Amino acid sequence: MAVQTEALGHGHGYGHEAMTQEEYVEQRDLRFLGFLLFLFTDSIFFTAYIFAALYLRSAAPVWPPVGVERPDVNLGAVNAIILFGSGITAHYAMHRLKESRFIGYVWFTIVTIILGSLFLGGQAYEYAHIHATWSGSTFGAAFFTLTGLHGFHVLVGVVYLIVTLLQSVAGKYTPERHFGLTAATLYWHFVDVIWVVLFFLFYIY
Amino acid sequence: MDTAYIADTIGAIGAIVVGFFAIRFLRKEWKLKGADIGVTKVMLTLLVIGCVEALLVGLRIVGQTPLSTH
Repeated sequence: MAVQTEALGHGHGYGHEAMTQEEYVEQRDLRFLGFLLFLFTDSIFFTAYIFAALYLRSAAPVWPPVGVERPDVNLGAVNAIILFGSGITAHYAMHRLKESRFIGYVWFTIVTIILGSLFLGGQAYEYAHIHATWSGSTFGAAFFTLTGLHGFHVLVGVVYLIVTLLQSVAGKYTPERHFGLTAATLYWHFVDVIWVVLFFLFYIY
Repeated sequence: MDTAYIADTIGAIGAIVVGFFAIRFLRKEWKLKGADIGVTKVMLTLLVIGCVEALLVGLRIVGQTPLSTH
């Protein structure tokens, strides 16, 4: 096992420091492909639930059902902008690292983490105030399932960003070798993009 | 001034600011090549669409659906 891990490049510290540039690029490309496949499967997961929500909507005579209230679109828009803004700060953080401006990277990542946490707080506030329940209506079931699933992804993203930040402080990433950060930024963009669809589906459409 | 008005104003201004930076990044990345850059371009484009959604809500053009009563 020890030999296997070493062969994969994890034998010494974080591994990629010992690789030549060609080895690193090969590993990075493979990891990137794997990560894209993960995002693809995750998007299929969301797509299935989104189509289920659309089916429920098309089958209902009135949407939302009688007596059920949509979530507050005004607060929803503010919450959406908080999340979209975090996508921009995540992008800035990535660029700062590429430009070897480490302090800038750290600050932008911290802002991204704070904005992500604010979004989760806004979502929790919304859950506490919406006039719908998970089991009370098809709208509630679709809303809580999809936004809950998305919220879980945001939570994972926040943890992911915290981990990459700690790894960066420990010196794992360099301006030339930072695939973990690229993946974290792409994941965060993915979470943003899913919310673009969910925001339209539950607050506007 | 009611809460909805404040939320709309924050939403609209936020959408313009975030959308501006998203478009700026998109323009910068447009000429660059690479698989991760390509994915980022798609993500940023969709982010701009999200900003347009939020802006339309902030301007009260869409999304003002009252409680369903019929």
